[in-house]
Amino acid sequence: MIYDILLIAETFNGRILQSAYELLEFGRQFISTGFHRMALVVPGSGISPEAESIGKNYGIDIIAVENKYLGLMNPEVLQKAVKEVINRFEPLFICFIHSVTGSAVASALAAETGASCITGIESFTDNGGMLSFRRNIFGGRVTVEVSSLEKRCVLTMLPGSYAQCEETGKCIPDSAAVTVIKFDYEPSGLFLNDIISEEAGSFKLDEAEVIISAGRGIGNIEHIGLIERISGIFMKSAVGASRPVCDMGWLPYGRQVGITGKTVSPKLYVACGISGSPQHVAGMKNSGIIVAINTDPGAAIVSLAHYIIIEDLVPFLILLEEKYNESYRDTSFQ
Amino acid sequence: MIKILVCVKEVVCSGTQPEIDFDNTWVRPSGGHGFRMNMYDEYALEEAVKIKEENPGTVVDILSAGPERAGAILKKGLEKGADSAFRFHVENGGYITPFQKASILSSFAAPRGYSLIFTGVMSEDLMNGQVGPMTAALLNIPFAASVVREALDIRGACIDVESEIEGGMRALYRLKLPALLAIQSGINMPRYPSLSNKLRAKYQKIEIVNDEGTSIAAARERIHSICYPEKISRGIVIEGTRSEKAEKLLQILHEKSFL
Ligand SMILES: Cc1cc2nc3c(=O)[nH]c(=O)nc-3n(C[C@H](O)[C@H](O)[C@H](O)COP(=O)(O)OP(=O)(O)OC[C@H]3O[C@@H](n4cnc5c(N)ncnc54)[C@H](O)[C@@H]3O)c2cc1C
Repeated sequence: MIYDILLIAETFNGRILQSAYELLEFGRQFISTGFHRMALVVPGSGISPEAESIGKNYGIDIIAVENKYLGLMNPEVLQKAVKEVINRFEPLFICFIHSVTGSAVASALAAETGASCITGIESFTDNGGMLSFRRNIFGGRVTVEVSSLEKRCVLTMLPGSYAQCEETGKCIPDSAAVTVIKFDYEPSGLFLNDIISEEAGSFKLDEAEVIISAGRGIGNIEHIGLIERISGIFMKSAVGASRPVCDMGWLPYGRQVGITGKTVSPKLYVACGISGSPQHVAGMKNSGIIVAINTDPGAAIVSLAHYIIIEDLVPFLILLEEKYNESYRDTSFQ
Repeated sequence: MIKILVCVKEVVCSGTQPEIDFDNTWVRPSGGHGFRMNMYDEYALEEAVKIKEENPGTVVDILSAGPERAGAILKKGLEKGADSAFRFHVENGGYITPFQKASILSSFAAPRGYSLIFTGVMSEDLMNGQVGPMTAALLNIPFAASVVREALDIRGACIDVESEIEGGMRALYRLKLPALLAIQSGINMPRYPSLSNKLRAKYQKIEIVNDEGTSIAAARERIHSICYPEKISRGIVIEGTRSEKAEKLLQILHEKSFL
């Protein structure tokens, strides 16, 4: 059996992660550019029953790879497992999700197998048979279209780039064959001992209806108080942050929004001095209303926001607070 | 004695729009803004220097594949505590792919017996995150990406690391040495150069490691178009004086029942 396209799902403790459905949607659109056979590869431990039911519900072929070290996605084992699958099924395209593990394993696998590698793609274009993949660089300030020069290409798809595929039964026009591979492999150099959870702050970022987020543009730690006061104007609100703000210790990591922090979708998200890098945007792009306050009209966040204010953040927020106190304070719920 | 290699690259100082060179389908090295070391590489270097301080006799080498200009960040690396600096010469400004870079780094590292190789988790400009894992794959050594903590066990010839994964979770790995770590920001606080290191760096040579015309691996991908992302599609720019903007924003938030 040969497949043109293999989508690599991620699993955790015997459960398939939601991102698999985004991969399915990407695959559904991608296969229509002239490919024929596609399968969803599900590496994991005790994963086959759930993988089979996805196959049935979505009408897609399944390759379940069982190995006890894949329960927590040991990257070394994942790399060898996917390599084994490649050897058997000779795909032209292999697409991982652009997670920390997914992108690292994709890169190593490409180097090892002589494939090309394009990470963090957000969409593809078919220029009359020439396929190219769009990705953003320079923190979202520049867009490039990259194409493969090799027969085989390993991709990673930025989470949130495609909607989750809907369960229609014929979402992907293919008969659902299931292959289960019992992959015997012991890690030799990389041992995964545990997965732990960073304790989040006392409030719940993912439950807040309004998030006021601070980016590097707030300048220094002294302005965190101002962000907190602005947040205090709203009901059910919380302070969020971009990664550098947490790295510098201005706010705890529990407040980080983005791919390695929390994914949030509040009714209102105010990005204060945040440039809108793909890693940050992946965690907040589904917010109801996005307001960007930034000095740079070229910042990536500006093309995402619903309301844009080009201003120096700190004096603007001070003024906003004053105006609020003058005109709204008494009429508000607080 | 352990030897550590830190791979670093220069990036354009951020803050402004990179200038696209449409003829070469790449961005122009912008003269005015200058270059600095990729932020993630700063953390990688600092971590290596910390290991050196805890384990006297450790040697920290620093390598960059770049044009002559990249000598500046290598000097900075020496000032911050690297022992020797190496540069693989790449013609000015040109783009090379992550795989090409990984090929350069791995062929440099292979004969030199490093116990640890550090890279940044990605570069701030290209954001591929490929070079570290690819270099490890070419050297056939274990790697961990997005490392936010490490504890080296020299006797046991292994290193324990915490890698940040999605949703605020961390994976705890043990890697056999030699190993490659792609370092994430926040692992430490990069230091300022000490005066004595500055003086030492001043007279230290940066060794060029390739001869003129050394070929590099063929690229496996091609950038065939480059552009600025489409501008503002759906957003409304709130105009006026600062005070008018504040009033308008409050009014909008009020109408939408947030206030
Ligand atoms: C594996 C990996 C995972 C990552 N995960 C995340 C993540 O989960 N979340 C995350 O946020 N990042 C993450 N990052 C980092 C990400 O790539 C960016 O570096 C980061 O999001 C940038 O944060 P920022 O927008 O605050 O800073 P910058 O990109 O430096 O932007 C600062 C912004 O502030 C503006 N500004 C400056 N001064 C002012 C002023 N006076 N007034 C108004 N505006 C001003 C600037 O114009 C600019 O737009 C990750 C990176 C990696 C490699």
